[in-house]
Amino acid sequence: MTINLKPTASIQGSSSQRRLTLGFDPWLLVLVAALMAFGLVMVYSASWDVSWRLHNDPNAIFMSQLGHLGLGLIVMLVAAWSHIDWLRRLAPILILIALGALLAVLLVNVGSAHRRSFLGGSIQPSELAKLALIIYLAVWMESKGERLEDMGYGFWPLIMIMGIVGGLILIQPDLSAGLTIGLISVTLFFLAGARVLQVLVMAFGGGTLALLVVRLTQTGQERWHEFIGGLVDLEEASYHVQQSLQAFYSGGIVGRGLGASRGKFGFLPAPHTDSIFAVVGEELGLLGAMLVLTLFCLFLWRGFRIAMSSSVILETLLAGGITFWIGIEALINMSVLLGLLPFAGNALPFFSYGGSSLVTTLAGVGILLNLSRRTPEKIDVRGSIATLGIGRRHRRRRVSRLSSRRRTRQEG
Amino acid sequence: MDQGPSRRRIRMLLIFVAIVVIAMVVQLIRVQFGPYAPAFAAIEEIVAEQVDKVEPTRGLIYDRDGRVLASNVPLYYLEVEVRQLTEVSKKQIAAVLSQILILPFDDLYGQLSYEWVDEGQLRIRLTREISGGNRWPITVDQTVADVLKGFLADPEAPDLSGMSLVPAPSRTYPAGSLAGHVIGFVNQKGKGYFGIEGYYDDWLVGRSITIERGYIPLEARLRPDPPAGVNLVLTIDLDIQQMVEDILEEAIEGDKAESGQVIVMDPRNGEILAMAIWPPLDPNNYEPWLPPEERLEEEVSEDEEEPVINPAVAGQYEPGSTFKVVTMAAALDAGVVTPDEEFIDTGHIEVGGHTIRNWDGSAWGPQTMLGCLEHSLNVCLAYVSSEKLGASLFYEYLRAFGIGKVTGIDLAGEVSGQLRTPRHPDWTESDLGTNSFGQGVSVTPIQLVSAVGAIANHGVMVQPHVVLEVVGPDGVYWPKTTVLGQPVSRETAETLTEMLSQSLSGETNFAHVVGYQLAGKTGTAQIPGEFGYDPRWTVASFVGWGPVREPEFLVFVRLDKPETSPWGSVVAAPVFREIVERLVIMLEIPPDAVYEGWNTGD
Repeated sequence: MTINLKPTASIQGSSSQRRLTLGFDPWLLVLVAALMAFGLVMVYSASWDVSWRLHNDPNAIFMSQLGHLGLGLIVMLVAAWSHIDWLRRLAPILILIALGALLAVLLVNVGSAHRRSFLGGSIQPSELAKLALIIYLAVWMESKGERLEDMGYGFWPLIMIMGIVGGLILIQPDLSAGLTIGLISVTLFFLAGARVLQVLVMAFGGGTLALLVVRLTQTGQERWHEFIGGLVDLEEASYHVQQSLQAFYSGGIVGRGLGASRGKFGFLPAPHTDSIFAVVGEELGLLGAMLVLTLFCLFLWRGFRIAMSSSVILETLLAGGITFWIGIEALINMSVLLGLLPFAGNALPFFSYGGSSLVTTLAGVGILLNLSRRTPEKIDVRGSIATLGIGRRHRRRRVSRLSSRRRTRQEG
Repeated sequence: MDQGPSRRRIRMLLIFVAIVVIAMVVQLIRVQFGPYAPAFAAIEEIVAEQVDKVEPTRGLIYDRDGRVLASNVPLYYLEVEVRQLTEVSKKQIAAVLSQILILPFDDLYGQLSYEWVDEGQLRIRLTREISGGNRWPITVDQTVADVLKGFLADPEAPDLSGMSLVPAPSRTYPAGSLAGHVIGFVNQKGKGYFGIEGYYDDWLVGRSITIERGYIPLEARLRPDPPAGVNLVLTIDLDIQQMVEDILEEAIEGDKAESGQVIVMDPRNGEILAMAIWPPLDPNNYEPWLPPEERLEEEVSEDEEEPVINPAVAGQYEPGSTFKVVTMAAALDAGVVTPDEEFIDTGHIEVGGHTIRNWDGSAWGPQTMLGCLEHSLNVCLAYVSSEKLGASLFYEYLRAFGIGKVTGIDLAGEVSGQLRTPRHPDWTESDLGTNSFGQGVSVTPIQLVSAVGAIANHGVMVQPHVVLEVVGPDGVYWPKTTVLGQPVSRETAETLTEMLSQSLSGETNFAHVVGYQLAGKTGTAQIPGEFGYDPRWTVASFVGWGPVREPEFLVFVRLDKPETSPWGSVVAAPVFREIVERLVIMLEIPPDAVYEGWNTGD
């Protein structure tokens, strides 16, 4: 269809490896496979007691997660083999769908205290909103180009978009998802080349807003109080964090053994979702927890590498945004369980049980894989004319259609 | 190149991420080895040290025919695994319980929200407030327990996670107040009080065992059954008990007496066939009978007299004339008097500076020893003890009869009574005279029954007992009859029985039972108070046994403070007769005529 359909860059690698990995980044493939497998095992281990209590069947949650994984893989494959260009047209539709879903979830659950999900917790629109926002902002920022530095073109519209999406999530209320949205937006803005001052202003404003929310809401206040207490004296931490740290402690260096966690039997809240990292820590010990950390670090490294290796701004923003999103969710989740951040309800991607999180994560990974296929194998050749040429040529075509973007053609 | 700034910024992001990751690694290590590791280790220890005490089911109690007198009903404590509570379940548990059990929500919620873990408690038992600021564990019966269990199993029901139902010791007494004083009762904590429950508490309880508490499925293992408590079969015959209690109640009402006791014993082996006490005790509603310090509710009146539980063993009184049996037995056995010996009753005698008179204050003139007993002459008996026996011999006999000592009956709370011997600093010579007819000496009914039982059993005194069989997990044990001694010779016992039999049939007697030759003695005792004997009230009693040819039962009747007549012969003797009339049928004892017919017929 379009020129970037058959990426010439991919032909540069050794052909046998290309065939094996279908042109995708082999590191990323292995990492994602490892994370998925690891996550699945941990979901089973952490969920069977809860599953048995809730559904009278120890396998129910695991089977459901398998279903999510299947769906997620399909979405991932579709995303991996689609044209990135489609995203340009899809972005507004996606964000509208996400906004619609966010509105709907508020309206459908009117009157209840938590209005986060459809169908009794199985579909959380806020997860979709995160991915949709990343795609939309990436497309939008690319289209704005240098004018992004202009307050009227970049700063204020971004505040608007962010405010609408984040606000809809905040009034669910879902503090942590709302703050995550803000964090991702600011980061994308930063990556897109915005002025540092503006980013700082946004970060500062966001921080003030966050502080305000924390100060004004009771949950926020409690969590903040517990957090500050717990940071200094681990024994003062909230019940959840204490249980989590207890789990890490009782895991020791090598853990109690896979499946042998005690905390998951009713002491550790939400063992199969938010607290699954603590279950890993208890069952596989310090080493297991480090392994999870390492896997995410590698994922971040690989994702950012893909972002850096692309010369197309959209691709850089998409890869960077998605990588940052998945990575920051993981880091926030793990930090919370270690008492390093105030309590937040972020899921651990790939690990936490939950359809919306897994499917959207895998959709993001699909896009990332897609991008990895079209980036040159070696980052060292970033200056090569061929790469740049293709990128530029392709870009120019889109640019002419999407109006005003201008790029300096300087060698980097 | 245009991607330059982006790359730089991505690298900055990477550095930011690296800092966060390093912080996490530090925290992971800090948790494991940092200054807080001991705190975590301590909690680990608390968790590991949690043990459960498994109580075996309490042994059952049967009457001699196997009818259940005491058994167990399912009752549950509400316990909470503190760390499994959630904010939701705290509210729901409090809400559900406050609705079902009509308890204050705030109180329950307060207990659930309390920081128990800080006190090293991971599991608590929910309590309710009772008057006086005390707290008592909440118990629920089977019906409520079923509802709660249903809630726990149903994901749609209120979230009660963290709560569990733990079987609580609880006792039920199907016979109600029947033989209540003999059985005693068990309090909410499973401790037995009084009677059999008190005396055999250790045996009935069995041995509780402690096991490590496995509160997670991985630690689930077979719970060993603790060794169960023994079952007890009593010597009590429920039919006789019922009959005796009915008659006693009637007599109490008829004579407007305050209280009363009846003991029916087999003098040959000391088995207590019935022990009736008025006012009755219903072990199912034992609350008012608890010792004051154990009571839950403060009683309204504080100066109210404490009710004595099972006064047949725990209530001492001055026995009065029934005690003359013992004095006479001693005199006969010592050979200082014979039944036909004459005594000139002048109506008064002075012993140790204390003048003793007869019950009617008159002089009865010349009397044989038989007459002395028949007319219950205090002067005569005082003469026998002081002039004939002398202090040392008299008290030696009393001790041989077990006066002033516990009999050792297997019922809790037995008291020893009071006997002042010459060695006692408060003893005076006048005691020798008054003791001979049962004044100045305190006995318990069971003591008198035991002593008089020796006369009925040819001079051999056996220990009264209530347990016939001990059925343990390892087999059955029949307690043997314990012989306490032989205070008097066989001849003495038989002679005295003959005398008392004659005195009984000689009177136009309230205690006479047609067809059976019985022996017995009435007693009318005054009640010693702070300022001497109370002129208004008496204790009317009767002790008798039969059939004289071969005694098979001994019946003791005591009525306190009868209003219609103060005399034992008028008040207590008819009760004896009524009981024996039925007893001979229940025990299938043939009338004397029939018995002799059997023995001479072939």
